Amino acid sequence: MQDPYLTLDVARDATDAAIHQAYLEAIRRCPAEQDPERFQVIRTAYETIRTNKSRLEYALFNTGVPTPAEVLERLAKGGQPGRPGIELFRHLFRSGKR
Amino acid sequence: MARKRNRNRKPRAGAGKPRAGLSREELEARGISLLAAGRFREAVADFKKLLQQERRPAWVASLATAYEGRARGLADKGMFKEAIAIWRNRAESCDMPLATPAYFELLFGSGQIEPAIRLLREQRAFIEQQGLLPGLRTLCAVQALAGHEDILDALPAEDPLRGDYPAALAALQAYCRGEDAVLEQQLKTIPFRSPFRDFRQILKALSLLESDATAAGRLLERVDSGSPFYALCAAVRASRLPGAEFMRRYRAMGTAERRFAAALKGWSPQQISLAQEMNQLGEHPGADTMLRFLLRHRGGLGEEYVREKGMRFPLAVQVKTGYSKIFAPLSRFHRARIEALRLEEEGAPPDEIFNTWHDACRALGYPDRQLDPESTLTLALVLRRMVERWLATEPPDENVLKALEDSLHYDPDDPPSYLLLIRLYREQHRLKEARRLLDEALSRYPEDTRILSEAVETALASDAFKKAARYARRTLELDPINPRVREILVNSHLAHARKQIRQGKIPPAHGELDQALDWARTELDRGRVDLVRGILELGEGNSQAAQALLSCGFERTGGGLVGRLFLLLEAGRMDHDLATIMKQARLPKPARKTSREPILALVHALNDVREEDQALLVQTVDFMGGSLKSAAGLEYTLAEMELICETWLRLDQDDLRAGYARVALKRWPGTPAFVFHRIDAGHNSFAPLSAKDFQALDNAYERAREDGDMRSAHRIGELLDGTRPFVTPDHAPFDPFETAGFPEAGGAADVEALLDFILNNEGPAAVEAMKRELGPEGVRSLFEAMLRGESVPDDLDELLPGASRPRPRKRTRNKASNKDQFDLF
Repeated sequence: MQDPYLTLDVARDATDAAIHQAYLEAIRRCPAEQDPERFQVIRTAYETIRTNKSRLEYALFNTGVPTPAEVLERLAKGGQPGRPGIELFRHLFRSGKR
Repeated sequence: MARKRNRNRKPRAGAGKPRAGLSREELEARGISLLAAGRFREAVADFKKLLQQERRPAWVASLATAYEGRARGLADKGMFKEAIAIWRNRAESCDMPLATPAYFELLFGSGQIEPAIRLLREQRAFIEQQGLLPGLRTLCAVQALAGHEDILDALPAEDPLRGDYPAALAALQAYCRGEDAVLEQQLKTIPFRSPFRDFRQILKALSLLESDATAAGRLLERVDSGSPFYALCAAVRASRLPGAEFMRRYRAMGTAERRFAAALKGWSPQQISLAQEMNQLGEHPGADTMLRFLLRHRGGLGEEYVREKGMRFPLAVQVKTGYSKIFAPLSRFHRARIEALRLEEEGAPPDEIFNTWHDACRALGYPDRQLDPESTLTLALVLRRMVERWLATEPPDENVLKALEDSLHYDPDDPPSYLLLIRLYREQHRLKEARRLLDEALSRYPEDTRILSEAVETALASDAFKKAARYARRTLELDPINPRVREILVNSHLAHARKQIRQGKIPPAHGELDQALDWARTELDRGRVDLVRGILELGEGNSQAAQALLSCGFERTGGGLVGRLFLLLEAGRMDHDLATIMKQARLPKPARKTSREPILALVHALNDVREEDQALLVQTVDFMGGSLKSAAGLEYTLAEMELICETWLRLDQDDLRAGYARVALKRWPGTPAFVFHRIDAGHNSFAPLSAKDFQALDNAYERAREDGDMRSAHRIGELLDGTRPFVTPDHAPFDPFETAGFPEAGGAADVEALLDFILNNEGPAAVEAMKRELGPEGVRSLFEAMLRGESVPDDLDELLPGASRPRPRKRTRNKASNKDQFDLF
């Protein structure tokens, strides 16, 4: 199971309200009819950490050790989108890749 | 440096055949098929050989195609210099022009910009004449933007590339500086047919990424994958992917694309290096490696994240990697918790898991009633986990019930725990406790239909029909389509009707049946009402009305075996003789040859029937046994066969279970579930297992564990541990004097008398089994040796049933003794 905090992009100390808000935003971005699989992942994540009790349950009994994919996903989310400099464009153009 | 040949490499089909032996036609056919298969290097060799014999234009064209494919393959791997050499061979061998866009692309890719510019100058007229310039212009556009502006001078002043370049460059600079208005202005000046057309789309998309990602996505989709600007487009598209997908793509990117995409994501240099290091670990690093990585990068990943995730690793890994030193040592509670989770994952014996969870509870202060608020909820959750895991394989006992009760003390806001506890008490006929909990639960959740349903069932179990009906009505007010409660209500009225029939109160019984019919919404329930009414009419001597009702009820409840089952159940519930009822009902005769569907329907019905009176259900199936036995050989699926055997197990139908399991093992040999059913059903628990069965169980135990079939593994383990093997596990000889009733052996003279006694009289099951296994002579030899104080003779060793048995594993601890160690319950 994917880390529900990562899936919903919420902090580990997020409140019920913040988690609910993140869930609503996530399903608005990814409605069930467009991507049912992703929707299910979001739904499962929400159910897992919806309440204080469910969060504690997740913390106590979840046995999944983090995978490289999960760590990288966490990493992928950490940063504000930026604009590459002109040198990065040039480097890419010179790489000869299509 | 000479490369080592890989001696183990398998030769490709066809590639290793001697070419000299092939005719031209064969060689040509092979060359064409190699081309089609993308095996360009071998195709080049074949067509070169053909051209040595005759210079046919078709072969020249095929050779050119093979060279082109080979060059592209090398370029895709970044081997531009090798690709250039191949392209030159193509030009020479096939009389093809060198100055094609493909060749320029190879030169650009290898960084040979000056030679490319020179060639463009020299061959410009030819390129224009061949109509190759438009394709080449876009390649040159990419190079100009890459900083190789000299390339523009190789083109005439009026060339659109030279004309549009300043705007394209200005747009790029504006984007990088974040000047979107300037960017917009510059992009407008780039015409649709410009060599910078794709670049224009991508820049526009980049500027829209943050404000309108959908529009940006649409623009990016318009860039063709063959465009020289596609690498840029791909990097932008990748940066828009969700986390995990992005990282999958990131792994496949080259350095330039990675840096570009990371910059778009806004990654810091620290994040970039962390991603690179993570990629080097591969997809499935070992636990040690992974935790070490997390610890090393806890600054970048977040201390709290690493602390929490690190706790999920086994304790041994935590110690080994230094986790325990970096973070505060784990508390006694967390150590026990992690250990219990590990035991769960390993499928350890239930009592071991239970005890470890119990340790965790004690670490939190259990069984003190007053704890700090933080520990209270944690303790409630751990107690529930402990109970849940126990009940997954074991029947409830006092400790489990107490733990669940205690969990409600620490966290009373948990309807599922109330529901479970009420059900467990009800199943144990401890209705007083069930009612106490019901009252508590209903005072907390008066409108919870699940609890109201339990209240209905509990009232029914106490024969409080009116109370049950009251709860059921309340449930249906809140949940009008609750089928379960409707069924319960029907059951309640039917039960009340039966009670009144038994007491001879016929008119009130009819009233109850009318009410049952009012609540009935399914054909099954209506059919059951018909059956009870039919039996009532039989008792009243109205045989014609009775037969009509019974026939109708039989059909409505499903007919066939299922209809018979319901009729027999109703008859049994009303204390009628089953055979007599069947005779009086005059049902249509069952088909001589049963097919699998009716059997499966019956099995499903047997599993769906909520019959409190297990003995009646067993008696009913016993009555139907004959038709079921003969159906064992029908074409069931494995899952169906498992379901059937489980049903027979639940209903104590050992003959049926053993028969079905035997058939199943013929189709699916060694399947642990069927091995268990065959042996368990056919085996008297007081008798020893035969060596063959013991071995079969042992093999099945291993297989079940390998397959992750923990239920079968557990059952087989219990069966093996609970059985007295013929020879004790440490291979100590069997002691015949252990058994009462044997004459005392005073010395060698008595041996004959003792053996005669053993062989001529029926002894305990173990001895009887030994007689069967070894025969009289074998028993005699064994006993003589043992009575002489010798070990078991070697030749007899082979004969002993336990001789080849592995030593039984200690699969479970003695539950009673282990649990008795706790004085907490």
